[in-house]
Amino acid sequence: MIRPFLALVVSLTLLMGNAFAQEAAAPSVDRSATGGAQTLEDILARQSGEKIDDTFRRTATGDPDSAAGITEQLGTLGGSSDPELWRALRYGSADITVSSGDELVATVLMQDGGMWWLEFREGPLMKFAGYALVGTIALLALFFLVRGRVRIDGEITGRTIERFKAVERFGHWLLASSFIVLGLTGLITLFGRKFLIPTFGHEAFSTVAVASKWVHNNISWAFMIALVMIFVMWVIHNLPDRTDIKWLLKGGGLFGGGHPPAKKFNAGQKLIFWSVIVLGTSISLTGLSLLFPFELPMFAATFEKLNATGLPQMLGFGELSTLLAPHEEMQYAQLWHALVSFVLMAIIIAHIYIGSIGMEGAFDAMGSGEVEEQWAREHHSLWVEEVKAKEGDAPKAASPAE
Amino acid sequence: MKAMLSAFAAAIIIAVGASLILEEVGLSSENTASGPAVRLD
Repeated sequence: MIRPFLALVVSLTLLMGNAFAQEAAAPSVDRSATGGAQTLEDILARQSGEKIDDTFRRTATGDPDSAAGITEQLGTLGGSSDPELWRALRYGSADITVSSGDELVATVLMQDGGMWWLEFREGPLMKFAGYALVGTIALLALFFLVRGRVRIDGEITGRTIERFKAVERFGHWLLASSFIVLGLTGLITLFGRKFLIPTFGHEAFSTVAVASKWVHNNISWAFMIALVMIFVMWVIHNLPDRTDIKWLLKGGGLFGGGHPPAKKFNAGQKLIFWSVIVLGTSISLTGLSLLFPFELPMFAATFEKLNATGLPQMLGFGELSTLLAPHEEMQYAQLWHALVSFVLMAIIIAHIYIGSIGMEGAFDAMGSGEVEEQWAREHHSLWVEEVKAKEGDAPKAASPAE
Repeated sequence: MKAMLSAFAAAIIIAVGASLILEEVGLSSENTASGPAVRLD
């Protein structure tokens, strides 16, 4: 799990670096030969992707105060020439009124913030996704080769214990099925342009993309409902306690040394639970922000709170920008949504592995809900004791007189 | 297995339901991000 997290940190560093490094000031340039307009050097520097100080263009948007009188020549231009007006539009300082959308959307006609987002999305984000998913699968394959399937050590009793009620299994599978569908349709959306269009062509991909967008947008509600269900049903069993330390110190018994005692959920499962809750909530919030574009901006406010903690400054990101255009909010929402999703996907792949081929007897817990008693004694010994004690306390059903 | 299959069915029902409800209450992107001057079809 360390690798995906490291990749996330590196990716975030790149993301923040890209977004905020633009503040760096360039040395002043002599533009007397062009009368203050951009020089050949400026154009060449911009084309080669160097950072340039564009204040001289950004601020050259005319001067309404020195406009000619309205009856004089060019007076109707209001002190701004056409190029100056275009510059104001290009740098987002023109006074804009458009017929569609509203003041949330239509205040910026041209924004170049889309380029770093596009480059990040098609570069580091895709690489991160690849490393996180393929890396996790490779690590699990290696683990399977080295450790093999975790077998039930003791003798099978043939007796079973109810581990999860029907409603718990329903909640789990609602979350699981929606998450897998969301993951696959999300991957189609992210990798479509680069990999699916060259393979299947534009026509075929268009159909797939429209369908996967519909499915992704709408099945998200099943995920959010199930997330709430899971939290309500299981939070009480997932509060950390002393047994977790012992469990973690013994590596869950995965590498030998006997099975450490555990309650209904062991420390590993608790980590999965809290990952799903925390990351799932983050994905849901950014997802809602993407579902209702421009209505739920959350990054400027989050950055403000982060700045107040001093954490970004301490980590070298400097003060995060709290003045974000609506489009930038959407770009951050999309990137964060995808990044966190890939971290959760990697965790869930490991969860699927250990719940299926990785461990004998584990799938029954979510399949039929009934687990082999010996399996339960090995992996959740304290929970079995609790269940047995309750069974002992429970009043026996009255039997009719014979 | 019943719980699993009914969860799969529920996911589909919720997805279709969400789409119909959002459309019904006027939250389709056509309604929210477009105006009468825009022809979409």
